Amino acid sequence: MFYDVIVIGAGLAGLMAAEAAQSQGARVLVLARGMGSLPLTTGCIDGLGYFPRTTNIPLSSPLSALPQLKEDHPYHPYAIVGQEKIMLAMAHFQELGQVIGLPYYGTFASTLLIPTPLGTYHPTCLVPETMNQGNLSIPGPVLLLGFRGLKDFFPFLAAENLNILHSQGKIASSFRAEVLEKLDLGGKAMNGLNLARAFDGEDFRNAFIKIVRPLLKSGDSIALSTGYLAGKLAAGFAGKNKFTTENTEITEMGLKPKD
Amino acid sequence: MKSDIDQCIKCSICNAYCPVLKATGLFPGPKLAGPDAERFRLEGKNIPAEWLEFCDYCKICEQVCPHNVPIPELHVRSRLTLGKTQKPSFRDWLLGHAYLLEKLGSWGAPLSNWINGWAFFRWLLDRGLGIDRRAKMPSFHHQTFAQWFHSRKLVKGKPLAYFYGCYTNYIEPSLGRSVVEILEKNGFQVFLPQQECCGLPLISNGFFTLAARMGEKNLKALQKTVEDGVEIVFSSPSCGMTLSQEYKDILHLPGASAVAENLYEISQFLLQLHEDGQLKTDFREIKETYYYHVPCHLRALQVGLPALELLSLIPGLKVMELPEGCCGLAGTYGLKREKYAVAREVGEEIFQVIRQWNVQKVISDCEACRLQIGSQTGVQTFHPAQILRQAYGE
Repeated sequence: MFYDVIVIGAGLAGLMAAEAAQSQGARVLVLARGMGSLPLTTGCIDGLGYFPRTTNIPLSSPLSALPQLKEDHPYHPYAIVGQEKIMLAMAHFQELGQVIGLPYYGTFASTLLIPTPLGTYHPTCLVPETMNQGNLSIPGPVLLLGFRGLKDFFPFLAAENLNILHSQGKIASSFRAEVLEKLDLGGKAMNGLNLARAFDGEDFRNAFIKIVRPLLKSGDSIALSTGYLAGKLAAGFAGKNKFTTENTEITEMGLKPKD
Repeated sequence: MKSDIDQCIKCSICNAYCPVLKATGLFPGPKLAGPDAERFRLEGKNIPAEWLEFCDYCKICEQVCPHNVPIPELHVRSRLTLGKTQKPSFRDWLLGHAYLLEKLGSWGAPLSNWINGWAFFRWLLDRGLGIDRRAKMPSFHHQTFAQWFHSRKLVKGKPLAYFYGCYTNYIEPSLGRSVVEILEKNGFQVFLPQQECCGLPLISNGFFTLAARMGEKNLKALQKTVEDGVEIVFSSPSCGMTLSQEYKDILHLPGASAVAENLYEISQFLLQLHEDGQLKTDFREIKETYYYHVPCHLRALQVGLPALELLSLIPGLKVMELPEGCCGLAGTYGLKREKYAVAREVGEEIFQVIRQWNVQKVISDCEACRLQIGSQTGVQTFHPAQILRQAYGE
């Protein structure tokens, strides 16, 4: 069999390279062992979190740091391809997201801070639109929800750590935590994958809203422990989980009572 | 054994792609039922039987694993252990011997088809044996493919062996005819080596010793073929997978590797012929749109999607790929009463798309996929070779 381009690896970089080549008319073969790392990644597209390397304060705009980066590290990939191509690539990625029904929010010109399961922040540039509900620069109280039996997320630990960052003025949101008692996942084990799939079902969402509504105080946002926090979900399921009911809007990262 | 369980890094990619886990809570997923359970098994602890029985053996987990964990092989090892304490049911014995049923059905056709379509008979099978009465049974042909083949005049050419499989022989002889006629058109002299059922239904129902016996018989004939310098093609990805992988990895049959090296999936073989500039391409125009479903066991063969490329040579023909996924039937799995609903749920995403897109004609290399998709959606189904044969005209 004959190909113009052979891409090795089926992670985000490999798939994007293959797509770019194919969209320009090349016959492309992707070689990979297994399915590639997409189900394991956060679903975020990071720009440049910290610069210079010695700082521990997130960069507010990767774009504005490019000239200095180019001077300090002339062989950095960003320095080699240049600003114009970075912006083009980001825009192309966002177009693809629109096409497949997984729209992305953000830009290379500004950093978003997204919470991690352990309660710190993750500087990034593009996030699935539904994940932007968890943007830590949105002020106001947030209720972090855990699920009894979910082994990968400890909402009280996360809330405590995030509140330390809040008190230091590093993030705008403040947090408290609750753990929901056992929810019925149709007999399936409680884990991020099964939970995210359960949220695709309308009955489960309605049952969930019923349980959660009494826990909300006025002005609360809600962050679920599913979704982004178990990174695999963000890539595959984020788009599907956004839904609106009469007076409640739930997205993968957040649930807000509408006024 | 290819590798040990420590290679599993618990990434859960297998769970993310397992069609059975998605469909039912009765199956804990390949990670737990595979490498995790293996740790307990190695310590002599029992694994719940339903963890093993609800696997539909599509082998997607093995395909998607980035660390070469032989999950289906672990599964089989567990079933072997289970088999020592728990005998498979008569129903499973019967389904494992699908070739006998097909032989009988073909011999008794058309009477057998009439009985098969009889609601009371299906009710008896359902209640008495646990074979779901809603599952569509294929209809048998009285003249088998092999009988048709031997009734005709020999065509001279370059020798090539064809492993046709039971389904082609008893249920879909027209597929075998298409394969033979395509090959003869391209200058080959087809012959049929002595063959038995490949043994996959026996493997998937837990009868490994019986499957090995089948395998030994098949290998004996196929080894002879290979020694004569003749290559072998097959038209059923599941039979092909059994011959080329299960004989070696699961049944550990001597001589399996040498045969595997000379086995080709029919579209793979024809595409290779085309790339060597030797395939006749005087196809007539077919102005139609077909949809293509990729069988799990074709993926397991790791030969790409040769049928799609081959069919793209036919002028006017449009072939669109259906969304990836398992159709759910998995040989005899979807016929079992306790699994019928799971099997339907597994394939539901594909069926929904077929209904939404108003699909009329589906192409798939695997007979089980064709049976399941056809019976669940009512579409017409074809093997790629049947379309290719049509394009060659009279």
